[in-house]
Amino acid sequence: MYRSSSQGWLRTLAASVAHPFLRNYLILDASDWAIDATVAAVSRLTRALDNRPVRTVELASWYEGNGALKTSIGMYPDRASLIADRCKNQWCVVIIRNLEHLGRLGRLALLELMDADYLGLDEANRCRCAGYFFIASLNTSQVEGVSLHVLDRFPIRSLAGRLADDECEERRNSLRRHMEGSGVERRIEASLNEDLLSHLEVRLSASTKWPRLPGSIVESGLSIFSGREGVGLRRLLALLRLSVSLARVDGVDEVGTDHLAEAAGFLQLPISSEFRTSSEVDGHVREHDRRFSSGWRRHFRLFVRQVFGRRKNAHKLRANVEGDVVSSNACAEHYAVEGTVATRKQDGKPSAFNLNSHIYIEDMSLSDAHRPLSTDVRRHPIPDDDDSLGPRVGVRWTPNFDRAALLPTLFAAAPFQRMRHACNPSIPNDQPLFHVQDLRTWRREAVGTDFLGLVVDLTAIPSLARRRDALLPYLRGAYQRRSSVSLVVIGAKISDTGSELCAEIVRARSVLLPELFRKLSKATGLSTPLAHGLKLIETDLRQASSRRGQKPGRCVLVVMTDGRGNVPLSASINGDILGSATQGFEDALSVARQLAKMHSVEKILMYPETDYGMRFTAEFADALSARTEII
Amino acid sequence: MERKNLSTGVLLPHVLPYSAFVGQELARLALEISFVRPRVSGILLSGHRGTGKSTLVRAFAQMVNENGQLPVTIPINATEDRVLGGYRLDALMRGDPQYHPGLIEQAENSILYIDEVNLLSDHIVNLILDVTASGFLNVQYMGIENKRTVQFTLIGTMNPEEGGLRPQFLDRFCLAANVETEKDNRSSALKNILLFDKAILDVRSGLDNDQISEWARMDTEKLDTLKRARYNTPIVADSILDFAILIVDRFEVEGNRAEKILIDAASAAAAIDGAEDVTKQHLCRVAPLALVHRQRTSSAATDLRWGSEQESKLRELVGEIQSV
Repeated sequence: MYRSSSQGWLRTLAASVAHPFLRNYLILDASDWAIDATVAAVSRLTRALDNRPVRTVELASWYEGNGALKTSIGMYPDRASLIADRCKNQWCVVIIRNLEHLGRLGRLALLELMDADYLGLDEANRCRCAGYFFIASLNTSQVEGVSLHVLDRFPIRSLAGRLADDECEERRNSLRRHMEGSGVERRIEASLNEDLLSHLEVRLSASTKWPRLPGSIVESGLSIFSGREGVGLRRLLALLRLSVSLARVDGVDEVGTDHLAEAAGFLQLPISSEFRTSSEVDGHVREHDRRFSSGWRRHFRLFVRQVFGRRKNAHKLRANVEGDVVSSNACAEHYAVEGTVATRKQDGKPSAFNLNSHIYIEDMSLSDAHRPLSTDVRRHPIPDDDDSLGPRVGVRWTPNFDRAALLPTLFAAAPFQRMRHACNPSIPNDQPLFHVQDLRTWRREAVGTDFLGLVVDLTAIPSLARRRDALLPYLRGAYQRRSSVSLVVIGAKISDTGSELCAEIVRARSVLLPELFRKLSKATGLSTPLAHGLKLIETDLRQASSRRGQKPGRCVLVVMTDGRGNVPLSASINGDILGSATQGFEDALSVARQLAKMHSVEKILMYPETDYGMRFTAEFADALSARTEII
Repeated sequence: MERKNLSTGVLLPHVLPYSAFVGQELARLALEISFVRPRVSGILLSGHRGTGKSTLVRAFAQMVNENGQLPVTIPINATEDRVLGGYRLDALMRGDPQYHPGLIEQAENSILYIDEVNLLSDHIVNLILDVTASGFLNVQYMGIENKRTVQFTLIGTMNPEEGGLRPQFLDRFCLAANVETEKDNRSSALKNILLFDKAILDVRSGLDNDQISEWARMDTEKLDTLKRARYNTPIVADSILDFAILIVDRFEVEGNRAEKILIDAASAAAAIDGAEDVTKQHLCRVAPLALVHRQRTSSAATDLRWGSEQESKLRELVGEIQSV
């Protein structure tokens, strides 16, 4: 369970690192920074536990069970295990961003890798790492893509994006009680807590003895689970193991009830059933609606009516937002990844909750986001430009009123209206009270301005593994740079267009689209409509390299062919099959010369070394003016 | 990772030892029967997450295999050449065919384990079924043929939440058991797992822990009992055969496979008990294992529970026979 305090977050990480059976960590709604910060902390803690180097391995979600992950678990026993070889005698921190995008085979392969680690199958599976630590991120708005048996392997989950239902409600109530009693100010500070991290490092390196787990604590753990049918022992075990590990981190001889309570707080016990429910609801709006109790819902409807009733007077809304209004939403859905919570009593009635000065917002912590980390694969920052932003994938806080989205802001402000009016009796009850912390904007999938064009001639390189290995660096680069991708497949056996005379194109906003890999895996056909394929990519390249009014990004064209096109352009476009194969080659050269004139596009030609002469390839390379690579 | 307890010299187990596993008596009986009577091959354990299905199978394999080896596990994303075996492609390209054994051959005279069997692709399932049923493994490639007999115990576990199994595949499993969280055993099961955790952590930290050797001793005793049972062949009286047929008939199970397996399983159960004759009690004990997945209601293995209704029906049958 997520705690907004860095103390809790770091303590859980330390406990997770310390215990060999708890080294799976899931971050919900995480930004890249949240993952990178976790990786940084884990790297330091693992080094403290066992002074061996740490290596991070990122599993891109388009692996689909191929590549490093698959070979590492002995799918192909004759091939060297990539992960094991890379991480020999090192700690291996495996990062899986967007678990929900990981293909079925990839998920299953991941499970096997986790099992191999858990069971200690080092010899059998060639896993010669010092130890694995799995860090995965999951977008809860797309959680239906994840299987229960995958989620079940991640007992420890931190919530980077928003608080879970139960805890959110619980903390709201807790805060409300604080508000009604003595005035309390909460302050959330940003940045990794260096002091605490150093302290934990010392603890981990010093402690070798495991604390005793009294029977009473086990019984208490059992009582937490009583009444939960069909849960099994796995979650309960995770709870007790985490308690033991927390006690070890504290350096005590015996596990106490505090440790159990703390562990129970971190483990989100009913999450599996929660996820199944959330797959049935439609996005954030219904989920928010479900969160409110009937009383809140009634109050919320009233509140919305108030706001929408005076839309003409928008300036009033702005005034209320900018005004200094008492807020209680320190526990609401902010996006702090971590931070220390300090409390200070104030005399008299609560006057103001000022969260502005020290609140930490993950996407906006530029100083921390640029801190050097040990992550191998690092994505570029999300562009801060509304026009280039992609589809909505969630909600986040914004300090900018102009950018605020109305509906999520209303949802965020609604639960606190009653309390704010109680604290501000001078403001009429029918006037909604906003605080700057209520402001929400849509969190969007980031889209870069870079473009990667791929033209793959399946007839030239029939081996899927060779194609994949050759393209991997470019796909990886596209992933890092958030490039949009167009893939043109030439010479597939059964074309989606119904004819093998035509090339096929797939346009993807990101390299994570599974369709890309499926197209690459198609069987090889007989014809090679190279000219048509180049014509298709030419259109996309022109669009990408001449963005209206915007600075064009980096455009890369990778053509994988031996240049032996044998279908004339007219045959591909009009179905005219009377043209000769030589005409097909001439057409391909002609289109290649057109592409050569696009000087802003970086062009790479990959060709296989063949025994039947390289004349066509050489001519084609000249026409394209491309840098060449032999596959 | 060093897997030897330095102080006692006992091999450090991969998973919880079989003797330390608490509860799930029916599932344990199924596994033991398959060891005592290898022809009763094919055990299906179905249950929700965290009920210990995989741990039980691994613990059992760890006990019966030499050097505490875990069962040969089929990855869910396994390719057919990985399962059946095949020829090394690089050698084949050089015109020098070199046979590479698959997982099925690795499991020869041992346990072939499929975790999440319901998620395995149909294609691979059909291949395994074919080998299990025929006992022959025949790999052909480009005119080269490698044919041999194989014998292994197929054990599958599944979570019914993730989907069911095809009836054809279901029927191939000789015995099936539902694995549920046993509330009464919860505390003791948990304590044993935590003891095991502590033992592993202690050994890894270089500290002494005698618990592992105690469990290893109990495992050895249990294995000796099971090995003795292999050579014990209890007598099956005609009345027992009639009773088995009556049970199968009353539970409306089609085909003759059920009664054959019922008798074999009861014989194995009697052998484990050290009995000289198979009794009705033995039949009643194994009836849930042999019949639960063959009932018409459990066509997709989504519900393999042996409820009170079936139990009372079984008791009624025993009463009928005794009154006659």
